Amino acid sequence: MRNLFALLCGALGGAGLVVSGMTSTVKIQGWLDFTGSWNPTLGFVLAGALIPMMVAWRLARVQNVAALGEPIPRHPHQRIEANLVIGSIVFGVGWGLVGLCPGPAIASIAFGGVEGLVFLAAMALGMVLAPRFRLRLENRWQVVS
Amino acid sequence: MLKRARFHRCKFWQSASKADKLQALTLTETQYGTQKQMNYSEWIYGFGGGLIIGSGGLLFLLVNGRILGPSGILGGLVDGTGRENRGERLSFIIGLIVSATIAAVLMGRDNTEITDNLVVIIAAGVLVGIGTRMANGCVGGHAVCGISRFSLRGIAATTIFVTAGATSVLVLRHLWGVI
Repeated sequence: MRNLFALLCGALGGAGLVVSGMTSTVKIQGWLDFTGSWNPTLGFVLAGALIPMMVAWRLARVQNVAALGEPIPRHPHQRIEANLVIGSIVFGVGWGLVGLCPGPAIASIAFGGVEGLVFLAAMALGMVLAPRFRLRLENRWQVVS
Repeated sequence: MLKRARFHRCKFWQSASKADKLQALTLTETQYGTQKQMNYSEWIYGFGGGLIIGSGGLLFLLVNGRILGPSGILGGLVDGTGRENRGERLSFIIGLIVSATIAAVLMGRDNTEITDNLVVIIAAGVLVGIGTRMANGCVGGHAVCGISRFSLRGIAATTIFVTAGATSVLVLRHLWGVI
């Protein structure tokens, strides 16, 4: 049952990515290209995705347990640590470089071609290497506790 | 965008006569022009697609009790930290690929318009992999799921990676001309 719903949610995500055009690296780089030909599509995608998610969080507040019995993930700690900042910078640079983030990268397999697979393999390598780069600076850079 | 379109067109030019080239040029310029004007429908499709993604996130949260974050779902599989719910992760990824394939065929989208420079692709892939795991999330987790619950970490991460992405496009495309 869990797997079935995970499959369904993945399917919704994949369909949404293709419908919204977010599998197009040109559109993503266009969103990041504030000084060139800026393409605001990603902003509309985010706006669209935020609406059901806000409803979801509102509903989750009423009920703390998901339909299949798993507890709804609690609000994680709100510290902004070095890992979050440096990780986001590293991710952002890679994102701008090619215009793929993990979701569309997985979806890009659907389009065939070697480039998407190479990107995925490199991304998997990065994910395996990531713990080595994780910094033990959790208690520094504390903005909000 | 125009620059990249020209670059790709060059391949077709090699065997074409001069007249054909000229015609191809004018044709693509007009196509580019209409594409520019069709931005509004792109926005609407973007918003609709966003609603679909968000609904997926809603179901995943309320039914499975999980955060819709591709980097976390894939990352847990790759580095083995998510072994206990491997089935759920695999199902999600399979669903994503299958439905993206179907949607791409139905909508006639056949290209991710990705660069063909493998060095750039590998470098970007490694950076994205390290960055999303260090920051514990990518666009799905931090932007979609984080901002919608007004999470300070999500808002901060989104601001930072959009700024970093914009800087990387600015420097690498407009200043250095690498991409």
